[in-house]
Amino acid sequence: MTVRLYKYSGEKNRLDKTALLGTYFDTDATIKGTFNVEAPQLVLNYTGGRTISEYNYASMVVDGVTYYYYVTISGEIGNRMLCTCARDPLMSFKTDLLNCSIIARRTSMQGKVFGGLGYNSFLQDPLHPILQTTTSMDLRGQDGGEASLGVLLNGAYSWNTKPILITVG
Amino acid sequence: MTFESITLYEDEQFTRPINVQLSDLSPVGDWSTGNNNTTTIGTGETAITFEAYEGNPNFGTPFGIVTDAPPLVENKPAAGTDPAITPDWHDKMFYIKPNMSIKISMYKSGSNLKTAINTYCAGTAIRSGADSQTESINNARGIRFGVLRRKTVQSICIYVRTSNTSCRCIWISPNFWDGTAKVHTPSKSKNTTPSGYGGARGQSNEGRTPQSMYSTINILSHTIGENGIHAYELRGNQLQTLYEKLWSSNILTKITNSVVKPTAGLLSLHMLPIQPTVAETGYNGIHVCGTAYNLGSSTFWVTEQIKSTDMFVRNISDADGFTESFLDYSPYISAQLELPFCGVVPIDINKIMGGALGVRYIIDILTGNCLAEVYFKDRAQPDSSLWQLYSRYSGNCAYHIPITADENGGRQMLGIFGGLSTVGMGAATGNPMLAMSGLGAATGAAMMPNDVGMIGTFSQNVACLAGDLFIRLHLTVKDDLTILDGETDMLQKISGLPAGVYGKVSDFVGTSEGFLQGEIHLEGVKGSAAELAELVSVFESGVIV
Repeated sequence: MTVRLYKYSGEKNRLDKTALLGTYFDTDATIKGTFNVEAPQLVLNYTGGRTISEYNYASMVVDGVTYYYYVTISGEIGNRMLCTCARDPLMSFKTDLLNCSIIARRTSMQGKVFGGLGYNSFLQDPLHPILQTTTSMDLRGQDGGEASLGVLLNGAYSWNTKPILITVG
Repeated sequence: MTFESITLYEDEQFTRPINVQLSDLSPVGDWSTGNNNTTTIGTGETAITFEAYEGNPNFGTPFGIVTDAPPLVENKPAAGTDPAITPDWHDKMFYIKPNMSIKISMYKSGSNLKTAINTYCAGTAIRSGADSQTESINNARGIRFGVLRRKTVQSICIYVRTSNTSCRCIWISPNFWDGTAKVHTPSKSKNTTPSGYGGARGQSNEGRTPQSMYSTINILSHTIGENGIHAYELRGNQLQTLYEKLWSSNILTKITNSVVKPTAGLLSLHMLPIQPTVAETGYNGIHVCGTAYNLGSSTFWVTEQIKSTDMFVRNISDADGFTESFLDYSPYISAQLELPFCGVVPIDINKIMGGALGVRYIIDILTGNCLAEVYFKDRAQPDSSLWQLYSRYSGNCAYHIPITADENGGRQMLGIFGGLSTVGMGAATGNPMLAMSGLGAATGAAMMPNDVGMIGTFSQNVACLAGDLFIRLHLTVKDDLTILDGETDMLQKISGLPAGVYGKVSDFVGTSEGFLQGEIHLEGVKGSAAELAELVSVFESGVIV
């Protein structure tokens, strides 16, 4: 069978690793022992010319379905190397996973302010770092103007300079 | 704009209202087409109807316009002009505020009065020969009408039309008015269905605006020769002239003043941060203890004891630099409202964020006591006309000026007016000294240095020394630290933001890289048990999508 080996430098928890699958090459391989689709062991008929240890990811077609694996290559004897594989369920079942339902607790998707798919900025976020320092804001009158008691004299608010005398009788 | 009720006032100072509630009125309709002139007005009654509109409905020639000028004085018909008509002239002034347009229709009993009213009623352009007179008053302060009293007319009534066929009388004049300008206290209304027509019509406010709802207490007297409490606004050198009168070197004046101490009638001299409503007295003096003191120039007296300021409004919106997130609310932001003369009070930021804050002062000209009313609109209805009362805070804004060291009598009288009332759960200190320090509510009237009884002492309202009269909202915002060089979107991209929503995984996959964390329901995934468990675990930890 043919195995495609990749150099993958991305995160393990990335759902779609396609964009980060770097340099690759195809090689012929034989199954060692009983084939376990989740964790097969392969013997690579490697022809040389590469630093094979740098290749840590593989894909192979099994019964018409492409699966992806993390691989560890060891036991190099001449051109024959033992390749231990572990299936990557995220990448292997990517299409099915996209159709699964999820209760999202955190997401980067921007939603509406009140409802809709996406985050809600009004939910308290324990991950949001808050300092103990404070900044003061001074809101004044509407449109930046002054909200003031007083009578307007020469463009400024001041006391009414005419005193009020209260008398009786 | 619509009105919750139309209030008629018996006096020009708007202190004696006759309130007509919307529930009294007929449904909105066109009165001019609904008027039924064939309805008989009850014997001894004259019905007046009027409608009020905002703006100028342009119904016809202005009738009996009452503006800020002195009220119109109608020419009384000369005695004997019409033997069937008594020489008595009964007029009634109703004042309406705010400025509105008023349509008046008059109905009278018996055809004999028809011509008389048309001829002698106040105003001009009265059509004669009509059963009713419909005119409009544009932007009028009130309506004034006069009805000649025939001998058979016992009273003048104001009816409220409750339906097309029924009315309710809301005011009946005492029998046989003496024709003077005396204002009559309205009698209790009778809930009957008189044969007469009458009515008033207003329209309804959508929710309350607070401007119309405050006390209309007015104990000030402003009638020449009438004893009582007067409030004068002194202008120019009138205060100096008063001092000269009080402490004149004239021996006769000294003797007179020693017998009847004028200072006993001087209750208070203070300055206020607002302009009260005043009217010219018509003479050059002031009245103290029954004695007139000529101050050498026209004097003005205060006509409204309770004065309200405009509403100071501040929208609290994203334009103020808020984040539109949980960071805009407590405990991340705290708010304090600085109210001149009342203190600095805490404001619940959660109530006003995204909405609006409004502050209105209601000031008693007599004592300087002020009530700061704080209103708010919440985020859901920032543009609504509905204001919700947040709380009221009391204080005193009068800057008292000592004019005499005499403490007798005056202080006892002042004690009636001094002191403050604390209203509402959120009341701040009534003690301006504590208000200045922002320490919180005062306890007990004994701690009030702003007692009106300051005349005769040099204690003053300390709050008045802070010339700053600004109303400010102070916000204290906790600083937030964003990761990765302060780019707020990095936190969103790398670890996402709280969601709490349900959907498909594909709903949370965008065109750019993102993060998704949650409880996944694995439907149709053909992995082993261990792989399925691994998938559940990795999604609970979060995946990059």
